Amino acid sequence: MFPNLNGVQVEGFIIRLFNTVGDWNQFKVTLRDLLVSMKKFASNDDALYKEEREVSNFL
Amino acid sequence: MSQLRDLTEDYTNSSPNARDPEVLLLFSVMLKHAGDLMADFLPTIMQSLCQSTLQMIQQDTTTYPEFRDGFFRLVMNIIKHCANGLFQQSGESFQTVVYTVIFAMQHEKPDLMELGNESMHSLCMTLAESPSFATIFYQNFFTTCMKEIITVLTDYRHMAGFKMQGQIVQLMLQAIDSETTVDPSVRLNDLSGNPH
Repeated sequence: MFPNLNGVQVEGFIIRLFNTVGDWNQFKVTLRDLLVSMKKFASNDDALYKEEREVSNFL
Repeated sequence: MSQLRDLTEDYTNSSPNARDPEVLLLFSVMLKHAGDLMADFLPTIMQSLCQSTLQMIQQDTTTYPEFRDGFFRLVMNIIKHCANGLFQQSGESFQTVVYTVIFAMQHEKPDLMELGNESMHSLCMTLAESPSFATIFYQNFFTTCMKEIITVLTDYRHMAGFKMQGQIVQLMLQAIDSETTVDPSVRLNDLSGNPH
């Protein structure tokens, strides 16, 4: 559904959305962040997400 | 009541160009004021007004603008003021209402889009108060609704609706996050049956 976001990003956003679901103001900020990051293309082997990838491989 | 019935029959039987959108507005205002008293009349409204109007407007999002306005208002007032009647409708009618709301949300014209957003918002609010209906509703429509809302939320043609769309997503996530809203003992997976 989101071709320009990678799995780590989508997962992160979904977790953040659920964590902020009780507070509209924080929820709104998360949604805006999602919209902003959708404007940029990121691939799965992005260096920005190297650390997260290593952690998930480790687990 | 019989005059009202004549009016709806007349509306259904006329050719699309001879119909008057004021009929839709009339029923929308009546629903707003009479609320659940109109519940018995709702099947007639659904069959005659909703089906025939949908046939006129479902091909695109621009023709018959005044019918769209009246029709989306009608559906919004069904949801807002006649929710008990709505929950008694057949699965098919209920599905029509949900898809109409989604269709309204997809319109680019701000006031039509706003009617759709408002309808979906009040539907989620109503559902939050009736767990058993919410369970059935979300089992049948959650993925469809969520997908369509995310679509309008993330494309750039529906920016103006950000606040409402965001609040709808929030309500829907709250619904699945809380244990009280969804009652796992109710399991119904077919769309064809009555929503009870």
